[in-house]
Amino acid sequence: MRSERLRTWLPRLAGAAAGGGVALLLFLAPVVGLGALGIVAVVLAALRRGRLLPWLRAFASGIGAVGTKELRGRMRGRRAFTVLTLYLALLAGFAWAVTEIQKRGVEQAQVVFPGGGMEQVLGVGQVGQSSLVGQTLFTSLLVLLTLLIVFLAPAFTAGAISQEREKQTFELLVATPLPALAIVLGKLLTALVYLFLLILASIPLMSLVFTFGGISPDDVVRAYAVLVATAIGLGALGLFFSALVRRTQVATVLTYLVTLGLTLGSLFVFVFWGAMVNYQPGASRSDRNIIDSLGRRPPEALVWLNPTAAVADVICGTGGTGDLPYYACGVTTVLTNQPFFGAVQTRDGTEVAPPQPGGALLDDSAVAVEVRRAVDPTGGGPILVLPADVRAEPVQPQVNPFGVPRDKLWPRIVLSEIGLAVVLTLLSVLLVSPARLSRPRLPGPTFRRRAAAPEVTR
Amino acid sequence: MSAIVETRGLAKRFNGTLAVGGLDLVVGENEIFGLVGPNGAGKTTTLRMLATLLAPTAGDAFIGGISVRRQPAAGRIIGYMPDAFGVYDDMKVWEYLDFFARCYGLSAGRRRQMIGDLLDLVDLAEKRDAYVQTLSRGMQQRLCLAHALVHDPAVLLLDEPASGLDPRARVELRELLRELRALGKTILISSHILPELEEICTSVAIIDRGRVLAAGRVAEIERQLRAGAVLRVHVLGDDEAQVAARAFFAAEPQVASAGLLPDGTVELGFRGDEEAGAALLARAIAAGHRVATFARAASDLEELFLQVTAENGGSGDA
Repeated sequence: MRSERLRTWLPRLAGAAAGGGVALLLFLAPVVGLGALGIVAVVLAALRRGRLLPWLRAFASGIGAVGTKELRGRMRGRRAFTVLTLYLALLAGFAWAVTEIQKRGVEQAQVVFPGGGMEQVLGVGQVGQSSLVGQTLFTSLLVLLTLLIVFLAPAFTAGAISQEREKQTFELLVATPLPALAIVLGKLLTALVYLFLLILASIPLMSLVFTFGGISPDDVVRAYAVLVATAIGLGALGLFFSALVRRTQVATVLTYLVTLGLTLGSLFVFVFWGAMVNYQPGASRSDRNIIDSLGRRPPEALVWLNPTAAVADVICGTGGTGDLPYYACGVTTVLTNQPFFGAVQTRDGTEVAPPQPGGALLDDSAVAVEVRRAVDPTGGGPILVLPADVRAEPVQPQVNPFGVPRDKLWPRIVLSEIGLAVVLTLLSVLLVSPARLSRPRLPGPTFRRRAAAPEVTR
Repeated sequence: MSAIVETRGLAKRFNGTLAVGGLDLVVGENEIFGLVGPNGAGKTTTLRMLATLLAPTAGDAFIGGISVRRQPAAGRIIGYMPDAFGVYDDMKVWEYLDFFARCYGLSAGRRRQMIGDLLDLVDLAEKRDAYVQTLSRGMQQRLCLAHALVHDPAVLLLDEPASGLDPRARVELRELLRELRALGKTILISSHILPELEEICTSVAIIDRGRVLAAGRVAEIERQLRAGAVLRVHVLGDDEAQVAARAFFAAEPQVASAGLLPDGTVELGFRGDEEAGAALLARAIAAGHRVATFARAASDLEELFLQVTAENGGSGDA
């Protein structure tokens, strides 16, 4: 009895511990990455001037100075903690609502199908009812957190440097021997620390999904890796515009515009591009068309900076059975150029595989004879028709997420976002460096000074 | 007295516009050096180059022998207080100084001591825990001055430190600057308000359109000024006597101009020095003019400034 219990608990404990370890690593990795960037810059400076130690000391004290100052301002009084409390209350309320709605859905299904026909409707067995709640909760919370990060990260950093200029404190700051990198990284890290606090604070709530099941710890780790990378990427974006533009308002607007472009814009371009290459004037919508067009898909790299695509991939990877995972898988399979089919049928109409989340992925052995519906990017997918002699074997819905092909898209997006952050941080450093204070003016409504007029700059 | 700040042909060009054109200045140790000029003369640009915030287009400047092009090294010797500066919201007075002390990498112990000393120096000790944005303009100015002192720099660059201050705050600032000089600091101070500089500066440079028009100890400049003074001569007697006196002075070779004011005073544009002035007076008395007063018009930097900038084709007001 005891050994049996041990056998069931031990893997879970090990999994949780491993998950926790990976989570910690993923949290630390970006910070370590940014730190490594600092080290590279220090070494370069040291090579050039042969004075590593003073620079290092200045860098360390600079990060300390900027960090202390920013955090003092941010965490002063009750404001920061009120915000955190409200945020958690909102999140908890949302989670509760989602749970209730999902539970009611299951209850209603039991009323409609008293004999147990609900499995077909919900795609889960009796055991899966609870996991359905867990998956929906996970998915909804992840979507909400992503939205929060996408909206908050630019707001936290878009004023970081332009506000110093607006308040005329910038000169005081750059007149000190602080390395520009210390100023930029100090600003970025302190903005991120508060965002990370918000992200970390949601973990206990997120762990509620484990009480319902259907989500494994590594799903949660993936989700948080995406959230953290998104916060870093968008935070660096805001910081860059803040260093580039003198006015906070302009920097904020630009940051949100680019964020919009990275999220919705790149998806739109991808779908539009896909629709354009699929369209062949004069040709019928035959299977050849679709199968040919698969080779002319838009490049996946279009969405490598798109946090929503990463979230979709993570959600799809859970193998969840609700509506959201279904659509998420539709998005993911389209974006990763995986042939996605809403259903697979034999010629006589027998369903081989029910429309699964993730789609019925066509493996190489199956030879398609006909495609009945055009690609629908929202996730419906065409119906693939197989020769009649294929054995119609109903595929069991997979509650276990490990069978679903996964981890194709989101790691690339996470890496791209961190890479973007590094590049933007370096650019911000250039913009903040004292030698660049008299930087070229941006094109704008400036008028030429009269030639006879004396210099305006005192 | 050795030079602690020296510029050699220091020049700065913004998009083709010359802001500072070949400035040669020498500032001795422990001086209070005034940089005087109209708006747009290049004062701020010069100070910002000295503060290592702007790279010179041509020439170089040395502070304590270190070129301003070597940013971190030169930056540690100077304390800079810009013309327009802001304060951070949500920050207490001691935190403000603590922040800048950290920027200079001071240890915790030294920071604590330095903050106490500086707050005493600028007379803000009782405002230690006040929020910076609640301070008056004069207090903020003193706090900004204190911030420039956290790393105990040898040279202070103060850009228009008295602008926007009420008269009382100006007097306090002046006292503070004298105190700093007593502590051994060298102070470069820019202003277009001349009387202020006159009272505290040991040397001044008058600059306009990025060029030095006159530079040196205040007394020397005044002596130069005396060589080109305005003399006011009051001659007793009726109108006729005064007209005659005017004619007498106008005929003198060193008198550039002679005018008769309504109150009977003859005003002379005089090119001679004090010796020549005395000789002129003796000749006037010998000629029978009843001279009651013979005096130089009160000459100060302001007048000198107007005179020098006028000679060079007017001020370059932007």
